Amino acid sequence: MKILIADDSAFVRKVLTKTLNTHYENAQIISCVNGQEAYDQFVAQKPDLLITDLLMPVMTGQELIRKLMSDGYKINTIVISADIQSRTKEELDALGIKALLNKPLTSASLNALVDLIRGYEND
Amino acid sequence: MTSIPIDIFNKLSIGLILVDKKQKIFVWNHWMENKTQLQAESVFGKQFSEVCPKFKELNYKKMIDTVIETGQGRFLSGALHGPFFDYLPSEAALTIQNLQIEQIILEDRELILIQVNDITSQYHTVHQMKSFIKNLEVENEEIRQAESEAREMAIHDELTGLPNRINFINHLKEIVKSQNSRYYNTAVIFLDIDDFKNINDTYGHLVGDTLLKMTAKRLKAAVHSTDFVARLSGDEFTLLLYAISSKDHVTAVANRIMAQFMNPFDINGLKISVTCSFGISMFPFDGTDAVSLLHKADTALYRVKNNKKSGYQFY
Amino acid sequence: MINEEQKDLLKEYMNVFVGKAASLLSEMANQRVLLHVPEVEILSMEDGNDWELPTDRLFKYGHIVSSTMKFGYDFSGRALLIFPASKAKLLVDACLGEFDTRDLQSVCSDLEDTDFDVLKEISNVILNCVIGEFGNMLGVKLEFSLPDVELIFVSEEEQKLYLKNSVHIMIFYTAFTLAETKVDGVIVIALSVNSLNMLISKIDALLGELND
Repeated sequence: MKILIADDSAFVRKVLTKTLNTHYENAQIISCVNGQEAYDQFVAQKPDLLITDLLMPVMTGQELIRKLMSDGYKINTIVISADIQSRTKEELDALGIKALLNKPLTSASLNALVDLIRGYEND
Repeated sequence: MTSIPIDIFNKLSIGLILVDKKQKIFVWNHWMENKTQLQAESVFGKQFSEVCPKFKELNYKKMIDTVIETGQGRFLSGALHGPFFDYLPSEAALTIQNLQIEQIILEDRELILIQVNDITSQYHTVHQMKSFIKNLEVENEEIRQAESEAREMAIHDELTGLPNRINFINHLKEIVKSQNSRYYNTAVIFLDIDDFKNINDTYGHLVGDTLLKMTAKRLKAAVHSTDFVARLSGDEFTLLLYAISSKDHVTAVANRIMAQFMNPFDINGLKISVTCSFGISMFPFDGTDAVSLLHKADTALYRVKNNKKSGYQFY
Repeated sequence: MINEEQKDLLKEYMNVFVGKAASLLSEMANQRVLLHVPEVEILSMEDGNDWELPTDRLFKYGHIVSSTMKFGYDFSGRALLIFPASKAKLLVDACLGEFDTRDLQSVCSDLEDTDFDVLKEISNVILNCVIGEFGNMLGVKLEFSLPDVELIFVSEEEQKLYLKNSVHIMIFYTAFTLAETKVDGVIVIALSVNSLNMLISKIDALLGELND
């Protein structure tokens, strides 16, 4: 399974990579630092799952998702963000994301993430 | 609570309210009494939200809860939230009360101190001052404008809009005095309309006036936009041509002026043909003071008239 | 003083904290508000002299609005929220619901007394949230003062803010976005030695959990 991670925080990328590698040994993790890099990598590698932050330089998470969708890609997206405003939630619902996890990442939310992915793996 | 100096509370010019953790009021100072017309005894034990209905709303409730839970102080600006206590609905927009909500410890009890600072009158004084200053500025500007317009009117001919005699004389004086090379070799032209009196008598003054207006336009069209065209009086006009390079140059302009009168003037369907005559003097060649230059141009004009046909003459 | 890994974690936590502050501000301004901390800088003074905070790192010279708040007990220091005065007006107008196509170069005399009150409230909300979250992270209860808001003119020659008796300064470069308008601001947290040590210990503990 290929998973693409996009977040401008090195800390978050590390935590996610470590968690995913622990639970999915055979998963290939692609790590990106902003929306633009994530877009380029997505097009090149066509991952099964996209895990992205929202506030990133160059291109935001929302812009990334929109761009991929308008290019015709079917994407499975999980958003992890510090932004808890209802307007944002509405925006993401409209974009059809699979799940939204709030930061900070706790062991509970990481476990939830792992379970979510297991759900898609089985699809 | 008898150790609290109540007198001080009651002398303050801000509202002071103390509530307990359940938000029940137990201190309500004179300022609050005066503002709300609610006596302290009548509010003791009541919920704060009863005397300040805004705090019944969820987000305001949360604010006080947060202060109680975390010990953080909260400042609420009247400009943002509107007034909190006793205001006429019609004056809601004008009333500004800032609120400060903090936790304090008194005799080992955790209490909430609420201060109400009403700055409506200060705010209004500042605003009135600002309005006043602004109005003064506007009035000042209006006066300046009016003065400027009056000055303009005083030196322009009302009928044609051209500079008038005073304006022209002053201008010519400036030129002869000036060291500016642009004015060296200036031609002074003194022009009048042939038999203008006849036209007035035949067609009436209204037509005469219109003719003068149209003449002004035609004269301006004949010369450079930076040259000076003025109406002295009646049917007398003067022109100043600047930066003349040669006599031929003046002749060329003179011919252009003559050409302007070739076509008849169309006034309310009447086609009136007129001609003009003018005399030309040159600065500094013919003189170096305004009066003599004008006189010489006038003399040249006189010679044209004596020849009994329209045209122009150099002095 | 603090390595890249520790800085990363600090930045990440700060982003979560300002995210919450943004949510509160968004309720006040009744529009989307985003607060993002892309950059952190930590400065240290060895011998505890008065700190001259070089504002030329923060802004070009001009008018700035600075709100200062003290917090205390076990974790103590001062927090400042600073942004350019011209943008401050935007922030205020957004909260008051007045959208103005005002020229961004307009002079600070456009900031009225009531605008300062609104700024005081905005800083109060943001700083309380951020410092409160630090308190939660460290598991300590804090006392807070209400912020003092000042309009300061920083001249070309004198681009410094004075912070007395502070030893360590954390500078969080913060970008506020209100609807489509971007306002660059800075949150500065000045800490005593003990407080910074407390913070670093906590960061290390969190990193330790990660590495297990």
